[in-house]
Amino acid sequence: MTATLDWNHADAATAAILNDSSSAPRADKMAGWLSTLLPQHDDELTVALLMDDRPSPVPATTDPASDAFAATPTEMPSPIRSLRRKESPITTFGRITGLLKWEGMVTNVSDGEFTAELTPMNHDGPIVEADFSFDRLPDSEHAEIHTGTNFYLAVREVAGLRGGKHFTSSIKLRRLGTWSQDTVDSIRERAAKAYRESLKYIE
Amino acid sequence: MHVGDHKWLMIDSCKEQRTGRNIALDYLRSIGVDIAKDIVMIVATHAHDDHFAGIADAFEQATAAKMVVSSALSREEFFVLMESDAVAASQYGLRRSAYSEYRRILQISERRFKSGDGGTIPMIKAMESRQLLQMPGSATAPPVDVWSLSPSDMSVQRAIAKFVTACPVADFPVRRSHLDPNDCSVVVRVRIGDIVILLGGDLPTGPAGCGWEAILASATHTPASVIKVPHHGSVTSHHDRMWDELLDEQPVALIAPFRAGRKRLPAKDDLERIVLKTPHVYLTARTDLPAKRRAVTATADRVASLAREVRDPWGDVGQVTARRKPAASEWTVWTRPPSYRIGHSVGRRR
Repeated sequence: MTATLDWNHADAATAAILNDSSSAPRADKMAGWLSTLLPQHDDELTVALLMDDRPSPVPATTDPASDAFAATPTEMPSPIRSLRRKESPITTFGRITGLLKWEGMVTNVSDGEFTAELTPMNHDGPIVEADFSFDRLPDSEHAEIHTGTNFYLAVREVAGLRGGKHFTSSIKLRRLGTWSQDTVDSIRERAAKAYRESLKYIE
Repeated sequence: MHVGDHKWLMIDSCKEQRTGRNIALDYLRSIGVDIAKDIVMIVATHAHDDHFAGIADAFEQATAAKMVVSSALSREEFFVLMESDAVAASQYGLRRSAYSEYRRILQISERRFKSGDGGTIPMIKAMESRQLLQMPGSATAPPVDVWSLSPSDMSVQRAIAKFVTACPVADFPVRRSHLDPNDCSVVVRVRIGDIVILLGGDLPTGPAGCGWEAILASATHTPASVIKVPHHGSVTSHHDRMWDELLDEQPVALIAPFRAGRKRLPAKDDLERIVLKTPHVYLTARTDLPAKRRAVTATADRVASLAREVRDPWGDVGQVTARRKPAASEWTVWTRPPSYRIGHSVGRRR
Protein backbone atom coordinates (compact mmCIF):
# COMPACT_ATOMS: atom_id res chain seq x y z
CA MET A 1 0.00 0.00 0.00
CA THR A 2 1.26 3.49 -0.74
CA ALA A 3 1.18 6.30 1.78
CA THR A 4 -0.40 9.61 0.83
CA LEU A 5 2.14 12.38 1.10
CA ASP A 6 1.16 15.70 2.60
CA TRP A 7 2.43 17.99 -0.11
CA ASN A 8 1.20 21.08 1.70
CA HIS A 9 3.95 20.79 4.25
CA ALA A 10 6.64 19.64 1.84
CA ASP A 11 8.29 23.01 1.45
CA ALA A 12 8.47 23.88 5.12
CA ALA A 13 9.56 20.40 6.16
CA THR A 14 12.18 20.19 3.48
CA ALA A 15 13.56 23.60 4.34
CA ALA A 16 13.68 22.61 7.99
CA ILE A 17 15.67 19.49 7.40
CA LEU A 18 18.00 21.07 4.87
CA ASN A 19 18.82 23.80 7.38
CA ASP A 20 19.21 21.41 10.25
CA SER A 21 22.78 21.81 11.29
CA SER A 22 22.54 19.61 14.35
CA SER A 23 24.86 16.69 14.77
CA ALA A 24 22.01 14.16 14.69
CA PRO A 25 22.65 11.20 12.39
CA ARG A 26 21.51 11.65 8.84
CA ALA A 27 19.05 8.78 9.06
CA ASP A 28 17.31 10.40 12.01
CA LYS A 29 17.05 13.67 10.17
CA MET A 30 15.50 11.89 7.22
CA ALA A 31 13.13 10.05 9.49
CA GLY A 32 12.05 13.33 11.01
CA TRP A 33 11.41 14.79 7.61
CA LEU A 34 9.36 11.75 6.59
CA SER A 35 7.29 11.79 9.72
CA THR A 36 6.13 15.35 9.06
CA LEU A 37 5.03 14.45 5.59
CA LEU A 38 3.50 11.05 6.05
CA PRO A 39 0.38 10.35 8.02
CA GLN A 40 0.60 7.39 10.34
CA HIS A 41 -0.60 4.05 9.01
CA ASP A 42 -1.18 0.88 10.92
CA ASP A 43 -0.80 -1.35 7.92
CA GLU A 44 2.05 -1.68 5.55
CA LEU A 45 3.78 1.47 4.55
CA THR A 46 6.36 1.65 1.89
CA VAL A 47 8.21 4.62 0.63
CA ALA A 48 11.19 4.84 -1.63
CA LEU A 49 13.83 7.44 -1.55
CA LEU A 50 16.46 7.88 -4.06
CA MET A 51 19.53 9.25 -2.49
CA ASP A 52 23.01 9.50 -3.62
CA ASP A 53 26.07 11.46 -2.68
CA ARG A 54 26.37 13.45 -5.85
CA PRO A 55 25.28 17.08 -5.81
CA SER A 56 22.27 17.68 -7.95
CA PRO A 57 21.31 20.92 -9.67
CA VAL A 58 17.64 21.23 -8.67
CA PRO A 59 15.86 24.37 -9.90
CA ALA A 60 14.94 26.60 -6.96
CA THR A 61 11.43 27.23 -8.22
CA THR A 62 10.48 23.57 -8.59
CA ASP A 63 6.83 22.83 -7.70
CA PRO A 64 6.59 20.65 -4.57
CA ALA A 65 4.36 18.24 -6.47
CA SER A 66 7.08 17.57 -9.01
CA ASP A 67 9.80 14.99 -8.74
CA ALA A 68 12.39 17.32 -7.35
CA PHE A 69 12.62 19.78 -4.50
CA ALA A 70 14.12 23.14 -4.15
CA ALA A 71 17.36 22.84 -2.29
CA THR A 72 20.23 24.83 -1.06
CA PRO A 73 23.67 23.46 -0.47
CA THR A 74 24.07 22.16 3.04
CA GLU A 75 26.62 20.21 4.93
CA MET A 76 24.56 17.09 4.30
CA PRO A 77 25.99 14.86 1.58
CA SER A 78 23.19 15.62 -0.83
CA PRO A 79 19.62 16.73 -0.93
CA ILE A 80 16.83 14.34 -1.69
CA ARG A 81 16.57 14.12 -5.43
CA SER A 82 13.10 12.82 -5.83
CA LEU A 83 10.22 10.95 -4.27
CA ARG A 84 8.49 8.24 -6.28
CA ARG A 85 4.97 8.98 -7.40
CA LYS A 86 2.40 7.05 -5.52
CA GLU A 87 1.45 4.91 -8.51
CA SER A 88 5.04 3.90 -9.16
CA PRO A 89 6.45 0.63 -7.87
CA ILE A 90 8.20 1.29 -4.60
CA THR A 91 10.61 -0.60 -2.45
CA THR A 92 10.60 -0.98 1.25
CA PHE A 93 12.65 1.53 3.21
CA GLY A 94 13.81 -0.40 6.20
CA ARG A 95 15.37 -3.68 7.11
CA ILE A 96 13.76 -7.06 6.48
CA THR A 97 13.83 -8.82 9.80
CA GLY A 98 11.64 -11.80 9.05
CA LEU A 99 10.25 -13.82 6.19
CA LEU A 100 7.40 -16.31 6.31
CA LYS A 101 6.59 -18.37 3.24
CA TRP A 102 3.71 -20.62 2.36
CA GLU A 103 3.13 -22.82 -0.63
CA GLY A 104 -0.37 -22.37 -1.89
CA MET A 105 -2.43 -24.73 -3.99
CA VAL A 106 -5.70 -23.59 -5.47
CA THR A 107 -8.54 -25.90 -4.53
CA ASN A 108 -11.52 -24.02 -5.90
CA VAL A 109 -12.20 -21.13 -8.23
CA SER A 110 -15.42 -19.16 -8.27
CA ASP A 111 -16.53 -15.73 -9.40
CA GLY A 112 -13.90 -13.20 -8.52
CA GLU A 113 -12.09 -15.33 -5.98
CA PHE A 114 -10.27 -18.57 -5.38
CA THR A 115 -9.70 -20.80 -2.39
CA ALA A 116 -6.32 -22.26 -1.67
CA GLU A 117 -4.64 -24.51 0.82
CA LEU A 118 -1.58 -22.88 2.39
CA THR A 119 1.26 -25.02 3.67
CA PRO A 120 4.08 -23.36 5.65
CA MET A 121 7.43 -23.73 3.95
CA ASN A 122 9.98 -22.27 6.32
CA HIS A 123 8.32 -22.24 9.71
CA ASP A 124 6.14 -24.31 12.00
CA GLY A 125 2.51 -23.59 11.52
CA PRO A 126 -0.80 -25.17 10.58
CA ILE A 127 -1.95 -25.94 7.08
CA VAL A 128 -4.89 -23.64 6.53
CA GLU A 129 -7.40 -22.73 3.89
CA ALA A 130 -7.98 -19.18 2.78
CA ASP A 131 -9.87 -17.21 0.18
CA PHE A 132 -8.21 -14.79 -2.19
CA SER A 133 -9.71 -12.15 -4.41
CA PHE A 134 -8.52 -12.06 -8.01
CA ASP A 135 -7.83 -8.36 -7.38
CA ARG A 136 -4.69 -9.44 -5.57
CA LEU A 137 -3.17 -10.63 -8.81
CA PRO A 138 -2.29 -8.77 -11.99
CA ASP A 139 -4.94 -9.11 -14.68
CA SER A 140 -2.49 -11.03 -16.85
CA GLU A 141 -2.35 -13.85 -14.28
CA HIS A 142 -6.06 -14.39 -13.77
CA ALA A 143 -6.28 -16.94 -16.57
CA GLU A 144 -3.61 -19.04 -14.89
CA ILE A 145 -5.62 -19.59 -11.74
CA HIS A 146 -7.42 -22.92 -11.76
CA THR A 147 -7.71 -25.88 -9.43
CA GLY A 148 -4.23 -27.26 -8.85
CA THR A 149 -2.34 -24.03 -9.56
CA ASN A 150 0.63 -23.60 -7.24
CA PHE A 151 1.86 -20.31 -5.86
CA TYR A 152 4.06 -18.89 -3.15
CA LEU A 153 2.78 -16.48 -0.54
CA ALA A 154 5.45 -14.50 1.31
CA VAL A 155 5.10 -12.16 4.25
CA ARG A 156 8.10 -10.01 5.10
CA GLU A 157 8.54 -8.28 8.41
CA VAL A 158 10.26 -4.93 7.96
CA ALA A 159 11.80 -2.96 10.80
CA GLY A 160 11.07 0.71 10.15
CA LEU A 161 13.43 3.64 10.68
CA ARG A 162 11.83 4.80 13.86
CA GLY A 163 11.62 1.39 15.47
CA GLY A 164 8.20 0.38 14.18
CA LYS A 165 7.41 -2.85 12.42
CA HIS A 166 5.56 -3.30 9.17
CA PHE A 167 4.62 -6.23 7.01
CA THR A 168 4.65 -6.56 3.28
CA SER A 169 3.17 -9.55 1.50
CA SER A 170 3.11 -10.93 -2.01
CA ILE A 171 1.73 -13.76 -4.09
CA LYS A 172 3.88 -15.23 -6.81
CA LEU A 173 2.58 -17.90 -9.15
CA ARG A 174 4.78 -20.88 -9.77
CA ARG A 175 5.48 -21.23 -13.42
CA LEU A 176 6.40 -24.74 -14.31
CA GLY A 177 7.75 -24.23 -17.78
CA THR A 178 6.53 -25.92 -20.93
CA TRP A 179 6.54 -29.50 -22.06
CA SER A 180 9.22 -30.45 -24.55
CA GLN A 181 8.43 -32.87 -27.36
CA ASP A 182 11.00 -35.33 -26.01
CA THR A 183 9.38 -35.32 -22.58
CA VAL A 184 5.89 -35.75 -24.03
CA ASP A 185 7.07 -38.65 -26.19
CA SER A 186 8.73 -40.40 -23.26
CA ILE A 187 5.66 -39.86 -21.07
CA ARG A 188 3.43 -41.48 -23.70
CA GLU A 189 5.83 -44.36 -24.18
CA ARG A 190 6.03 -45.12 -20.46
CA ALA A 191 2.27 -44.74 -20.07
CA ALA A 192 1.59 -47.13 -22.94
CA LYS A 193 3.93 -49.72 -21.43
CA ALA A 194 2.39 -49.39 -17.96
CA TYR A 195 -1.09 -49.69 -19.46
CA ARG A 196 -0.18 -52.89 -21.33
CA GLU A 197 1.24 -54.37 -18.12
CA SER A 198 -1.87 -53.39 -16.17
CA LEU A 199 -4.04 -55.51 -18.46
CA LYS A 200 -2.53 -58.55 -16.76
CA TYR A 201 -3.46 -57.61 -13.22
CA ILE A 202 -6.69 -55.63 -13.56
CA GLU A 203 -9.82 -57.56 -14.44
CA MET B 1 -18.34 -53.04 6.67
CA HIS B 2 -18.46 -56.36 8.44
CA VAL B 3 -20.15 -58.91 6.17
CA GLY B 4 -20.03 -61.89 8.47
CA ASP B 5 -17.48 -64.51 9.53
CA HIS B 6 -14.98 -61.77 10.46
CA LYS B 7 -14.72 -60.61 6.86
CA TRP B 8 -14.66 -56.93 6.08
CA LEU B 9 -15.14 -54.60 3.15
CA MET B 10 -13.50 -51.20 3.13
CA ILE B 11 -15.22 -48.58 1.02
CA ASP B 12 -12.90 -45.58 0.62
CA SER B 13 -10.30 -44.36 3.06
CA CYS B 14 -9.38 -41.17 4.81
CA LYS B 15 -6.65 -39.71 6.93
CA GLU B 16 -7.15 -37.61 10.01
CA GLN B 17 -5.73 -34.37 8.66
CA ARG B 18 -4.02 -33.21 11.80
CA THR B 19 -2.29 -36.48 12.67
CA GLY B 20 -1.99 -38.08 9.24
CA ARG B 21 -3.28 -41.38 10.61
CA ASN B 22 -5.55 -43.68 8.64
CA ILE B 23 -8.43 -43.68 11.04
CA ALA B 24 -10.33 -46.51 9.36
CA LEU B 25 -7.39 -48.87 9.87
CA ASP B 26 -6.90 -47.60 13.41
CA TYR B 27 -10.53 -48.37 14.19
CA LEU B 28 -10.38 -51.85 12.70
CA ARG B 29 -7.24 -52.68 14.67
CA SER B 30 -8.85 -51.38 17.84
CA ILE B 31 -11.65 -53.94 17.51
CA GLY B 32 -9.31 -56.80 16.80
CA VAL B 33 -9.53 -57.02 13.01
CA ASP B 34 -6.53 -58.61 11.32
CA ILE B 35 -5.98 -56.10 8.53
CA ALA B 36 -3.89 -58.50 6.46
CA LYS B 37 -6.36 -61.38 6.47
CA ASP B 38 -9.83 -60.09 7.29
CA ILE B 39 -10.26 -57.29 4.74
CA VAL B 40 -11.38 -59.05 1.56
CA MET B 41 -12.10 -56.02 -0.62
CA ILE B 42 -11.23 -52.32 -0.75
CA VAL B 43 -13.25 -50.04 -3.00
CA ALA B 44 -11.88 -46.66 -4.07
CA THR B 45 -15.04 -44.88 -5.16
CA HIS B 46 -13.18 -41.92 -6.61
CA ALA B 47 -9.95 -39.96 -6.24
CA HIS B 48 -10.87 -37.07 -3.99
CA ASP B 49 -8.73 -36.75 -0.88
CA ASP B 50 -11.63 -37.11 1.52
CA HIS B 51 -12.28 -40.58 0.03
CA PHE B 52 -8.91 -41.60 -1.30
CA ALA B 53 -6.23 -40.44 1.14
CA GLY B 54 -4.33 -43.37 2.60
CA ILE B 55 -6.00 -45.98 0.41
CA ALA B 56 -2.70 -47.24 -0.98
CA ASP B 57 -1.43 -47.80 2.57
CA ALA B 58 -4.59 -49.72 3.36
CA PHE B 59 -4.20 -51.86 0.25
CA GLU B 60 -0.57 -52.55 1.08
CA GLN B 61 -1.51 -53.79 4.54
CA ALA B 62 -4.62 -55.70 3.49
CA THR B 63 -2.73 -58.40 1.66
CA ALA B 64 -5.81 -60.55 1.14
CA ALA B 65 -7.92 -57.76 -0.32
CA LYS B 66 -8.92 -57.15 -3.90
CA MET B 67 -8.76 -53.54 -4.94
CA VAL B 68 -11.70 -52.03 -6.83
CA VAL B 69 -11.32 -48.82 -8.82
CA SER B 70 -13.48 -47.00 -11.33
CA SER B 71 -13.12 -48.46 -14.81
CA ALA B 72 -12.37 -44.94 -16.12
CA LEU B 73 -9.04 -45.10 -14.33
CA SER B 74 -7.90 -48.21 -16.13
CA ARG B 75 -7.73 -46.52 -19.52
CA GLU B 76 -4.51 -45.66 -21.31
CA GLU B 77 -5.38 -41.95 -21.40
CA PHE B 78 -5.47 -41.92 -17.62
CA PHE B 79 -2.06 -43.58 -17.51
CA VAL B 80 -0.70 -40.69 -19.59
CA LEU B 81 -2.06 -38.23 -17.02
CA MET B 82 -0.54 -40.22 -14.19
CA GLU B 83 2.85 -40.33 -15.86
CA SER B 84 2.84 -36.61 -16.70
CA ASP B 85 1.88 -35.81 -13.12
CA ALA B 86 4.82 -37.89 -11.88
CA VAL B 87 7.22 -36.06 -14.19
CA ALA B 88 5.90 -32.62 -13.18
CA ALA B 89 6.03 -33.48 -9.48
CA SER B 90 9.54 -34.82 -9.75
CA GLN B 91 10.87 -31.99 -11.88
CA TYR B 92 9.33 -29.16 -9.89
CA GLY B 93 9.20 -30.59 -6.39
CA LEU B 94 5.43 -30.52 -6.23
CA ARG B 95 3.43 -32.10 -3.47
CA ARG B 96 1.94 -35.55 -3.85
CA SER B 97 -1.42 -35.78 -5.55
CA ALA B 98 -4.17 -38.34 -5.92
CA TYR B 99 -2.34 -39.62 -9.01
CA SER B 100 0.60 -40.65 -6.83
CA GLU B 101 -1.76 -42.60 -4.57
CA TYR B 102 -3.13 -44.40 -7.60
CA ARG B 103 0.35 -45.13 -8.95
CA ARG B 104 1.14 -46.87 -5.66
CA ILE B 105 -1.98 -48.97 -5.95
CA LEU B 106 -0.87 -50.13 -9.39
CA GLN B 107 2.65 -50.89 -8.16
CA ILE B 108 1.29 -52.96 -5.27
CA SER B 109 -1.05 -54.83 -7.62
CA GLU B 110 1.70 -55.56 -10.12
CA ARG B 111 3.99 -56.80 -7.38
CA ARG B 112 1.30 -59.04 -5.92
CA PHE B 113 0.40 -60.45 -9.31
CA LYS B 114 4.00 -61.26 -10.14
CA SER B 115 4.75 -62.77 -6.75
CA GLY B 116 1.54 -64.81 -6.67
CA ASP B 117 0.51 -67.84 -8.65
CA GLY B 118 -0.51 -65.66 -11.59
CA GLY B 119 -4.09 -66.76 -11.22
CA THR B 120 -5.19 -64.23 -8.65
CA ILE B 121 -5.95 -60.86 -10.15
CA PRO B 122 -5.57 -58.23 -7.45
CA MET B 123 -7.56 -55.39 -9.08
CA ILE B 124 -11.08 -55.14 -10.42
CA LYS B 125 -12.60 -52.43 -12.59
CA ALA B 126 -15.94 -51.19 -11.31
CA MET B 127 -18.61 -50.38 -13.86
CA GLU B 128 -22.38 -50.41 -14.06
CA SER B 129 -24.07 -53.65 -13.04
CA ARG B 130 -20.90 -55.60 -12.30
CA GLN B 131 -20.64 -58.17 -9.56
CA LEU B 132 -17.46 -57.48 -7.59
CA LEU B 133 -17.64 -60.16 -4.92
CA GLN B 134 -19.70 -63.17 -4.02
CA MET B 135 -19.36 -65.07 -0.77
CA PRO B 136 -21.42 -68.19 -0.18
CA GLY B 137 -23.18 -68.37 3.13
CA SER B 138 -22.00 -70.48 6.04
CA ALA B 139 -23.45 -71.84 9.23
CA THR B 140 -22.68 -68.54 10.90
CA ALA B 141 -23.15 -65.98 8.13
CA PRO B 142 -25.58 -65.38 5.27
CA PRO B 143 -24.42 -65.16 1.64
CA VAL B 144 -22.95 -61.88 0.48
CA ASP B 145 -22.79 -60.25 -2.88
CA VAL B 146 -21.29 -56.91 -3.78
CA TRP B 147 -22.12 -55.02 -6.95
CA SER B 148 -20.94 -51.82 -8.54
CA LEU B 149 -23.77 -49.80 -10.10
CA SER B 150 -21.56 -47.17 -11.75
CA PRO B 151 -19.83 -45.66 -13.66
CA SER B 152 -21.89 -46.06 -16.82
CA ASP B 153 -20.29 -46.51 -20.23
CA MET B 154 -21.25 -42.98 -21.17
CA SER B 155 -19.66 -41.55 -18.02
CA VAL B 156 -16.44 -43.37 -18.85
CA GLN B 157 -16.46 -42.08 -22.43
CA ARG B 158 -16.97 -38.52 -21.18
CA ALA B 159 -14.13 -38.99 -18.71
CA ILE B 160 -11.78 -40.24 -21.41
CA ALA B 161 -12.56 -37.18 -23.51
CA LYS B 162 -11.58 -34.98 -20.56
CA PHE B 163 -8.42 -36.99 -19.97
CA VAL B 164 -7.38 -36.40 -23.58
CA THR B 165 -7.75 -32.63 -23.28
CA ALA B 166 -5.65 -32.65 -20.10
CA CYS B 167 -2.79 -34.72 -21.54
CA PRO B 168 0.54 -32.91 -22.00
CA VAL B 169 1.23 -31.27 -25.33
CA ALA B 170 4.66 -30.11 -26.49
CA ASP B 171 5.32 -26.37 -26.08
CA PHE B 172 2.29 -25.94 -23.84
CA PRO B 173 2.60 -24.98 -20.16
CA VAL B 174 3.22 -27.71 -17.63
CA ARG B 175 0.14 -27.94 -15.46
CA ARG B 176 -1.19 -30.41 -13.01
CA SER B 177 -4.48 -31.68 -14.28
CA HIS B 178 -7.26 -31.52 -11.80
CA LEU B 179 -10.23 -33.25 -13.31
CA ASP B 180 -13.34 -33.83 -11.23
CA PRO B 181 -13.56 -37.58 -10.57
CA ASN B 182 -17.13 -37.46 -9.20
CA ASP B 183 -18.65 -38.25 -12.60
CA CYS B 184 -17.04 -41.69 -12.56
CA SER B 185 -17.58 -42.34 -8.89
CA VAL B 186 -18.33 -45.95 -7.95
CA VAL B 187 -21.68 -46.67 -6.29
CA VAL B 188 -21.58 -49.92 -4.32
CA ARG B 189 -24.53 -52.10 -3.40
CA VAL B 190 -23.91 -54.74 -0.75
CA ARG B 191 -26.38 -57.49 -0.03
CA ILE B 192 -25.93 -59.60 3.11
CA GLY B 193 -28.71 -62.14 3.24
CA ASP B 194 -31.84 -60.03 2.91
CA ILE B 195 -30.21 -56.81 4.05
CA VAL B 196 -29.11 -54.31 1.42
CA ILE B 197 -26.80 -51.35 1.94
CA LEU B 198 -26.21 -48.68 -0.70
CA LEU B 199 -23.04 -46.57 -0.69
CA GLY B 200 -23.50 -43.61 -2.98
CA GLY B 201 -19.91 -42.34 -3.39
CA ASP B 202 -20.04 -38.80 -4.74
CA LEU B 203 -21.97 -39.70 -7.86
CA PRO B 204 -23.84 -36.74 -9.36
CA THR B 205 -27.40 -36.84 -10.60
CA GLY B 206 -26.80 -36.93 -14.33
CA PRO B 207 -26.68 -36.01 -17.18
CA ALA B 208 -28.76 -38.53 -19.13
CA GLY B 209 -26.88 -41.77 -19.46
CA CYS B 210 -24.63 -40.88 -16.54
CA GLY B 211 -24.78 -40.65 -12.76
CA TRP B 212 -27.93 -41.65 -10.90
CA GLU B 213 -29.94 -41.25 -14.10
CA ALA B 214 -28.05 -44.20 -15.57
CA ILE B 215 -28.41 -46.37 -12.46
CA LEU B 216 -32.15 -45.76 -12.31
CA ALA B 217 -32.53 -46.59 -15.99
CA SER B 218 -30.98 -50.03 -15.48
CA ALA B 219 -32.38 -53.11 -13.73
CA THR B 220 -34.46 -52.70 -10.62
CA HIS B 221 -32.92 -53.53 -7.29
CA THR B 222 -34.08 -54.67 -3.90
CA PRO B 223 -34.42 -51.50 -1.82
CA ALA B 224 -31.64 -50.72 0.64
CA SER B 225 -32.25 -49.99 4.30
CA VAL B 226 -29.03 -48.01 4.77
CA ILE B 227 -27.74 -45.30 2.46
CA LYS B 228 -24.42 -43.54 2.59
CA VAL B 229 -25.81 -40.31 1.17
CA PRO B 230 -23.89 -39.33 -1.97
CA HIS B 231 -21.68 -36.28 -2.09
CA HIS B 232 -22.14 -35.14 1.49
CA GLY B 233 -25.85 -34.55 0.97
CA SER B 234 -25.34 -32.02 -1.82
CA VAL B 235 -28.26 -31.21 -4.11
CA THR B 236 -26.01 -32.01 -7.12
CA SER B 237 -26.25 -35.68 -6.16
CA HIS B 238 -29.85 -35.69 -5.04
CA HIS B 239 -32.30 -37.70 -7.08
CA ASP B 240 -35.84 -38.18 -5.79
CA ARG B 241 -36.16 -41.47 -7.65
CA MET B 242 -33.07 -42.79 -5.86
CA TRP B 243 -34.91 -42.31 -2.57
CA ASP B 244 -38.20 -43.66 -3.94
CA GLU B 245 -36.97 -46.67 -5.90
CA LEU B 246 -33.61 -47.76 -4.50
CA LEU B 247 -34.27 -47.30 -0.79
CA ASP B 248 -36.67 -48.51 1.85
CA GLU B 249 -39.18 -46.12 3.23
CA GLN B 250 -37.31 -44.20 5.92
CA PRO B 251 -33.85 -45.78 5.56
CA VAL B 252 -30.92 -45.01 7.85
CA ALA B 253 -29.10 -42.16 6.11
CA LEU B 254 -25.43 -41.60 6.87
CA ILE B 255 -23.75 -38.36 5.86
CA ALA B 256 -20.10 -37.34 6.12
CA PRO B 257 -19.87 -33.53 5.99
CA PHE B 258 -17.44 -31.61 3.82
CA ARG B 259 -15.93 -28.51 5.38
CA ALA B 260 -13.10 -27.58 3.04
CA GLY B 261 -13.86 -24.88 0.50
CA ARG B 262 -16.34 -22.05 0.56
CA LYS B 263 -19.45 -24.17 0.37
CA ARG B 264 -19.79 -26.52 3.27
CA LEU B 265 -21.90 -29.61 2.87
CA PRO B 266 -24.53 -30.55 3.75
CA ALA B 267 -26.05 -27.09 3.65
CA LYS B 268 -29.09 -26.27 5.77
CA ASP B 269 -31.47 -26.80 2.89
CA ASP B 270 -29.79 -30.11 2.04
CA LEU B 271 -30.53 -31.36 5.55
CA GLU B 272 -34.10 -30.07 5.38
CA ARG B 273 -34.59 -31.95 2.13
CA ILE B 274 -33.09 -35.19 3.45
CA VAL B 275 -35.04 -35.24 6.71
CA LEU B 276 -38.23 -35.09 4.64
CA LYS B 277 -37.15 -38.43 3.16
CA THR B 278 -36.26 -40.11 6.43
CA PRO B 279 -36.12 -39.16 10.11
CA HIS B 280 -33.07 -41.38 10.65
CA VAL B 281 -30.30 -39.03 9.52
CA TYR B 282 -26.84 -39.23 11.05
CA LEU B 283 -23.84 -37.00 10.47
CA THR B 284 -20.30 -38.01 11.31
CA ALA B 285 -19.38 -34.45 12.35
CA ARG B 286 -20.71 -30.92 12.48
CA THR B 287 -20.66 -28.82 9.33
CA ASP B 288 -19.51 -25.74 11.27
CA LEU B 289 -15.83 -25.02 11.29
CA PRO B 290 -14.04 -25.96 14.49
CA ALA B 291 -12.96 -23.19 16.85
CA LYS B 292 -9.84 -21.46 15.57
CA ARG B 293 -6.64 -22.58 17.15
CA ARG B 294 -4.19 -19.92 18.21
CA ALA B 295 -1.79 -20.92 15.46
CA VAL B 296 -4.52 -20.44 12.86
CA THR B 297 -5.35 -16.99 14.22
CA ALA B 298 -1.67 -16.05 14.07
CA THR B 299 -1.50 -17.20 10.45
CA ALA B 300 -4.65 -15.24 9.64
CA ASP B 301 -3.09 -12.07 11.10
CA ARG B 302 0.06 -12.53 9.04
CA VAL B 303 -1.63 -13.03 5.67
CA ALA B 304 -4.54 -10.66 6.31
CA SER B 305 -3.47 -8.18 3.64
CA LEU B 306 -3.87 -10.81 0.94
CA ALA B 307 -6.17 -13.54 2.22
CA ARG B 308 -9.60 -13.62 3.78
CA GLU B 309 -11.39 -16.18 5.91
CA VAL B 310 -8.26 -18.03 6.92
CA ARG B 311 -9.45 -21.24 8.49
CA ASP B 312 -8.60 -24.70 9.53
CA PRO B 313 -11.50 -26.78 8.24
CA TRP B 314 -10.38 -30.03 9.78
CA GLY B 315 -11.79 -31.00 13.10
CA ASP B 316 -12.17 -34.14 15.14
CA VAL B 317 -13.44 -37.22 13.37
CA GLY B 318 -16.67 -38.75 14.56
CA GLN B 319 -18.07 -42.19 13.96
CA VAL B 320 -21.49 -43.61 13.26
CA THR B 321 -21.95 -47.35 13.75
CA ALA B 322 -24.99 -49.14 12.36
CA ARG B 323 -25.51 -52.75 13.36
CA ARG B 324 -28.13 -55.32 12.51
CA LYS B 325 -28.40 -59.05 12.97
CA PRO B 326 -29.54 -60.95 9.85
CA ALA B 327 -32.86 -61.87 11.42
CA ALA B 328 -33.49 -58.49 13.02
CA SER B 329 -36.06 -56.10 11.61
CA GLU B 330 -34.25 -52.84 12.20
CA TRP B 331 -30.88 -51.22 12.64
CA THR B 332 -29.31 -50.09 15.87
CA VAL B 333 -27.20 -47.00 15.43
CA TRP B 334 -24.57 -45.54 17.73
CA THR B 335 -22.87 -42.19 17.41
CA ARG B 336 -19.50 -41.26 18.80
CA PRO B 337 -19.00 -37.50 19.13
CA PRO B 338 -18.78 -35.28 17.24
CA SER B 339 -21.14 -37.42 15.15
CA TYR B 340 -24.80 -36.94 15.92
CA ARG B 341 -28.29 -37.66 14.78
CA ILE B 342 -30.27 -34.81 13.29
CA GLY B 343 -32.80 -33.57 15.79
CA HIS B 344 -31.23 -35.49 18.65
CA SER B 345 -28.40 -34.82 21.05
CA VAL B 346 -25.19 -36.75 20.68
CA GLY B 347 -24.97 -40.33 21.84
CA ARG B 348 -28.55 -41.55 21.63
CA ARG B 349 -29.51 -44.83 20.12
CA ARG B 350 -32.09 -45.12 17.42
